[in-house]
Amino acid sequence: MKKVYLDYAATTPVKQEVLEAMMPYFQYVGEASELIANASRKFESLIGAESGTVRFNSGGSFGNNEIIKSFAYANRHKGKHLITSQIEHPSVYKVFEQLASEGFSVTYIKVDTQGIVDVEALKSAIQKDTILISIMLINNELGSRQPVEKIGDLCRAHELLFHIDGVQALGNEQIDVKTIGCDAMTFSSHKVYAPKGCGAIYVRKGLSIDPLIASCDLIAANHVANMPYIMGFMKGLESAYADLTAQNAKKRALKRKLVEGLEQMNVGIQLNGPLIDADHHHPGIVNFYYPMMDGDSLVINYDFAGFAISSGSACSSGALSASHVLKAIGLTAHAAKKCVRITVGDFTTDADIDGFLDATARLLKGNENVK
Amino acid sequence: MLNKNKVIVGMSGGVDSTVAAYQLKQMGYDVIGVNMRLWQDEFLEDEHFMNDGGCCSLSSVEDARRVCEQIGIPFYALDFKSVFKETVVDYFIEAYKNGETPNPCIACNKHVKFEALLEKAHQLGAYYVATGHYAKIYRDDLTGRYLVEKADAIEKDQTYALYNLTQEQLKHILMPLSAFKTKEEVRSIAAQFDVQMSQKSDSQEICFVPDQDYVGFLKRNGGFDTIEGDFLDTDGNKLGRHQGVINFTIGQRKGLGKTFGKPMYVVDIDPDLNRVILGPNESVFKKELWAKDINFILMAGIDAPYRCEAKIRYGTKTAPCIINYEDGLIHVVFDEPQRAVTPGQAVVFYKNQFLVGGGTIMRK
Repeated sequence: MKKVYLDYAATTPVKQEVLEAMMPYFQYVGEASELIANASRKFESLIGAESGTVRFNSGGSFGNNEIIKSFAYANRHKGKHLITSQIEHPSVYKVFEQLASEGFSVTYIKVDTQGIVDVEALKSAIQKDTILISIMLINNELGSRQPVEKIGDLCRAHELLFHIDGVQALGNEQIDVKTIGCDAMTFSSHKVYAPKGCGAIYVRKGLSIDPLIASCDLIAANHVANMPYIMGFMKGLESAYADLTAQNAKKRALKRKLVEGLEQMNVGIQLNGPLIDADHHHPGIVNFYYPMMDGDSLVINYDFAGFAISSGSACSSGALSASHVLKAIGLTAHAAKKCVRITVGDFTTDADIDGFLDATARLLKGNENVK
Repeated sequence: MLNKNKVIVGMSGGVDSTVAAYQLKQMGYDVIGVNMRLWQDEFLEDEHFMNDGGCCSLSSVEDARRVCEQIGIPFYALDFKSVFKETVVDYFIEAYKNGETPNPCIACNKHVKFEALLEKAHQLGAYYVATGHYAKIYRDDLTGRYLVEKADAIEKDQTYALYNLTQEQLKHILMPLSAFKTKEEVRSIAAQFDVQMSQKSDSQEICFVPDQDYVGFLKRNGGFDTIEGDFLDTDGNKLGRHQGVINFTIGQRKGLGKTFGKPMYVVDIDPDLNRVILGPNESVFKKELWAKDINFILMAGIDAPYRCEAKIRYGTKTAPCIINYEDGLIHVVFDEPQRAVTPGQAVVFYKNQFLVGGGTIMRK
């Protein structure tokens, strides 16, 4: 049975054109600095950044760790207060937990029922000794886009460093770091139909990042850079940008069809997070509460029916404790365990959504005798 | 509709659950393997215990996954941490607070394996949950009751830990190892799979205390302080000081922390006054006990004194007795005095090979 993949927020398959762009570089041993500089420049132009501000690394978790730790340690003489939200990815909130254990104090800003950071709460959380704010651009479980432009304004007014986890947003919207007004942003390759194990960071001109791993200097490191993955990352990104408007329109239509289809079953399935009509959120991510079944049972049942989805984020599926994001938008721990995330992606078709809705109807019919 | 041909098997990656899953598959069942995530003790996370011992160790997920692949059945790891914490770990801690010696396996069977996992099975459309327990479960066509019989592999019999299952639970349980006469037969079938025969223990110790240091566990997780108190003899005379009541269980001789010139045994524990009563071996024997939270399996209940046999802990032999209701409790009178009747442990009743029922031994 061919599986229908509806978990694009977890990771994406490598597109054929991306694979082809990577192939020549597995055996390439020539000059790398020039190629990497070109790739960085291309990346910079796509996100509206100045030259020399994007650097490739090994992925999103690495980038989040690198930037947050570096900013916090370098500025600890100015203050020890840090601000983030209650809905960050583990590679962000666990860094803050670590920093808190090292003597920093951290404020976790609450979100509303749609999963959007409360800017007023954030504003009043700023203290004299606040040095850094880190807020994600798009939440990975709900798809909710955060008001980063407003937060950027606040940060400039208070002269605070502003980091954004842009992993889930890249390739799904036209990111412009200047408009947002952030100091640093993290990206990952495997969310844009390119390989895992590659990422990038943007750090505003004039700021520097202490490397997380002590090693060669940048010039020397370029000789052993992961060329095929960087080339793949760039190809995936260019493809996404080339077709962004059309792809997003298609995905939003499929997402709407999915939401309406599940709601029309009248069995109490509810949408968590942002309203479907708000077009600035992630085009493909939807999160549902199923009153009649646990999230892990749903994942298994859909797996048997030929559909790959996830309960919570990819990271929590193994452990399956109730999602901190769903609890942050007001679900009880009990209700949060009855939720699943579905992501429409570039390869999703109308027939896939029809099939998913049919499978849901069959599944819930078969389940009506369950107490 | 629940599918009577579909069964969820709790898989640890060990010998027993592996063979249980394999047998069911051979019998034509549609089998799904599930590894239950039950407990993670952060204190022990880096220790080797969490990696190669106990049914909830970190490696058991990968062991179970590998075995399921070899058998050719789907595999999933599912989280039962919160229900396990609430119904097993909290109960375990509470029992020690009351000076009792708990039996967490019985609580886990009742609330986790045959309740939470069974509910999950129903959500997946499966009528049955199966485990690698050694016990026979079947429906008595005459009475319509689901009965439990001791396993043929009598030295492995695990019916003791099943006494408080309800009829509704038993109806949905399969225990395919009941067909085997010896553990050796089970091992010989397991040999074709990549299971670690020697390292996987026989799950008799407490799985969430893999280092066996339950006092350390209670201090970390139960907020216990070990407060020094008095050792008394059975007449109330002070014999010395002990290092905290949670270090002791009824009948214990070793590890008292001092010598008394003659062999002394724990006769009673008084958590309220922080006292441990010691006496010679003969004072550890008791002819009667009272039990609460009674469940019957062989019949709906008893309304007159009933002659049967009883077992007061997992490792002991059954002993003849008469049981009867007194004020809602079961009064058990043994033909011969029994050693180390321990509050918190289960007393389980048998009639020949049949599991009659059981309850929790009370402090009286």
